[in-house]
This record gives sequence, C-alpha cells and structure tokens, in this order.
Amino acid sequence: MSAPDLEALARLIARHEGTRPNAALRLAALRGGAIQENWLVSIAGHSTEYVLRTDAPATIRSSHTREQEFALVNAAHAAGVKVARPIIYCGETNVFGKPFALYEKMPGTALGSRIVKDMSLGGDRRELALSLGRELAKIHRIHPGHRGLEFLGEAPPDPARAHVAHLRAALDALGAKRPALEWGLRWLERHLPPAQRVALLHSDYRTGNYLVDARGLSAILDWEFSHWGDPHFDLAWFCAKCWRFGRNDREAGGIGAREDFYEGYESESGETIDRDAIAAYEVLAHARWAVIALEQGERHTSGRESSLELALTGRMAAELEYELVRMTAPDRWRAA
Amino acid sequence: MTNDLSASDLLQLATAHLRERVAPNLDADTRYNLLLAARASEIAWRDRSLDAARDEAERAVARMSASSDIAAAIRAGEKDGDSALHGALLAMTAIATYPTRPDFLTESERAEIEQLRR
Repeated sequence: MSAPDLEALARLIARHEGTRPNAALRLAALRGGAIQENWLVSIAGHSTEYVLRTDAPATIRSSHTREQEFALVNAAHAAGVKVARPIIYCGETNVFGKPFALYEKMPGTALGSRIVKDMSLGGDRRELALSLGRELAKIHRIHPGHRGLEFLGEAPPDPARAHVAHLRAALDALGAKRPALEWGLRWLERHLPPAQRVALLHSDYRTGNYLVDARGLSAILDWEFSHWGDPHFDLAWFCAKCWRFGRNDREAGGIGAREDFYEGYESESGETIDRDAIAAYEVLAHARWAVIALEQGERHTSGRESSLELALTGRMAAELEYELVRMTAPDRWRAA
Repeated sequence: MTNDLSASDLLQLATAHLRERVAPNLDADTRYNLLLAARASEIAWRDRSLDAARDEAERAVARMSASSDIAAAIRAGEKDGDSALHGALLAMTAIATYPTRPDFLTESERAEIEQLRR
C-alpha cells in the first residue's frame, strides 16, 4: 500500500462537502473494528469531522467490501435509519493507498462494556430500548430488489436453512472439527422456523455496534455482514445472552427490557414478533458468534496477522459452544 | 517458608496490581492493551494442568460414534437429541470454558474441574 496522499484526500472531500481544497487535513487512527481500519479525519477550519474506513490487513470470509458497506449505509440513510451520513466511496488507490469510504463522524461511544455499566450514557434506558427497536424496524422495511443492493443477490428461498449451510461451510473452510457446534447446527437445522417474511438484516445489530451519547442513540454502525433474511434473526442477535455484556437482567442487549425493545419494533413495523422464533434464533446467535470467533482466531493462528486480541477472540468459541449445548438439551429436540 | 505466596496468589496479585494500580494511569489505548495481556495471563494460568482432562473429555465425545468422525455423524443426523452425547458435550465444553469464563459454569461443574487440576 502506498502512503495516503492527504492533499488529494482534502481535495476529494472539498468536492463533496464544500470545504477548502487546500485546507490542512489531519488523520488519527481509531481503535475498534477488527475487520476494518478506522481513521478520524479532521480538517482545519471545519467543524465536521469524518471517519474513514478501509480494510484491515486480513478480513474474514463473510464480510462485505467497503464499497458494498457504503451502499448499505446509503440505503439505510435513505430509509430514515440513524446512521453516520455517507459522504464518499473511493475505489481508487491513488488517494489513500487502498479503497476507502468516508462518513460523517457521529457523537458518542459504542463500547458495549461501558454502555451497559455507565447509566449516564444512552439517555433514558427505556427510551433507548424502544428507539433501538424502532430503528431495527426501519431497516427491515428494505426488501429484496432494492436498487443499489443487487450485490446481496437473491433472497434465499429458505433463510433458516441458508444460515445453517453457511455456518457449516465456514467450519469446513476452517478445517475445524467441532462436535459441539455441529450439535447446535443440527438442532437449528431441525428447529429453526421457516421465514414468514424476508427483509434486509443488519446482521450484527447489537450493543457495541451503535453509538450513544448522554442524550440517547446517535447512529447504527457496522454494516459489513448485512444480508437478506428473516427479521427474527436481528431481533434475536440483539437479545442473545452472548451480547448482554454480563447484564443478564437486561435481556435487550444488556441495556433494557426485552419487551421495551419489542414494543419499539412492533409499533414501528406493525408486525408481531414470534417469541418462539426468537428463542430458536438465539440458539443460532450463539452458533454464529462461535464460528465468527473461530474465524477471528484463525486470522492469528494462521500467521496472517499476529494479534493477542484475535487470539483471545478465538478462545471465546469454547464458552459459546458451552452455552449452545446448554440451550439444546435433549428435551428441546422435537421428535423427528 | 510458610509465608511464601502460592503461584496462583502471586498471579492474582500481579494482575490485580496491573488492573487497579497501573491501568488507570495509562492512556486509553495502552490501558486496553495492558488489560488484554492481563486477561491472557489469567486464562493461561487457569488453563494449566487441564490438558489431560481436556483430551479425555474429547475422547469421551469421540467414543459416542461408531464411526471415526463424531462431528460428521452429528451433522448426518445420527445422534439427534442423544442424551449421552449431550452429557459428554456439556462436560467437554465446560472444561474448555473454564479457563476463559469460569463464572459461566455451575458451581458443581467448576468444583469438578478444579479437582481435575489438582
């Protein structure tokens, strides 16, 4: 990768934002995002700051490109979802050394472990749970055939089976023999209900992937896994025990009551949530997170990227498998 | 030398020292990296002496299939809802979970695994 050309970047931003093309521009690396690199972009004399996202040295199999992610955020922005305003996608390598996307920087923090503990963040917590439900319902108003999202392909005829097939393929690609995960995936194959409707899924809608400040929710982040599927997938991912950051008394993402989150969703969408489907999709949430953890760990163990953080994420697969096995005890298997 | 600290106590003291005395004085990025390293040290400590128990638990799962590949047998639907396999999987994953999240386990699971480490 060649070095970023800050003058070229300043000129590019000026064309879209009306800033001075010769203004001094400053870049600072931001932490967070194991799949992308994030940079804070500040321009002298301009109050708006920007976040530049580009690929990390190694990415994981199931994540979208930065161009596709930009198209997803654009679609969500147009649908009225609270997202960081998308500014530019640049596929050329002569500006930053590799393709990148630029967004307006939104206020707040996304750090899940802090959000669940620090009650000065997120505003009123019932309202936060309601608003997270409402934002998710807006995302689910985007349907297959949406212009600009053709790269997502056709919606799978059976999203539930597609999830299981996708996770098995990911395990096979890793060369991983994981009997506990296979047990959970087989349970899912037998028990995930068929989808009643198909919509755009955020696919990583959870605490840690939205920004809050003292007033409340400011933006939904991290669209790199979005795909077509059963909306119960996102609802369950948000509520699954593995994404509550230890606050199991607050079943909606460790921040609020499950029923408040559901209420926000149902009032905005006009749809009724199938509680049994959510329970099955929470099993899927644990299986999926376990596979992602293995993929992240493999980035380290393969030697592609030396990282203690990735190595520790890989170790999380064990606790997710444990929970998965507990959730799928023999009395939860229906007769064939 | 009855006043000597055990290795376990010493490690707990060191990680508590890093978390409580060192980390608060560091910038956010350095603090995060220090806490990651402290966590890795604790995991490595809890993981010690579990190799034999882990191998045995994995063998117990493998023995649940007549074929040589229990993962494939489960995928093929040959072990649906099998109580004995479920018990073996639970025991295997509990041992694997102990180093990273002992608090996830039941009290009896934790006690049993701690016994195996002695």
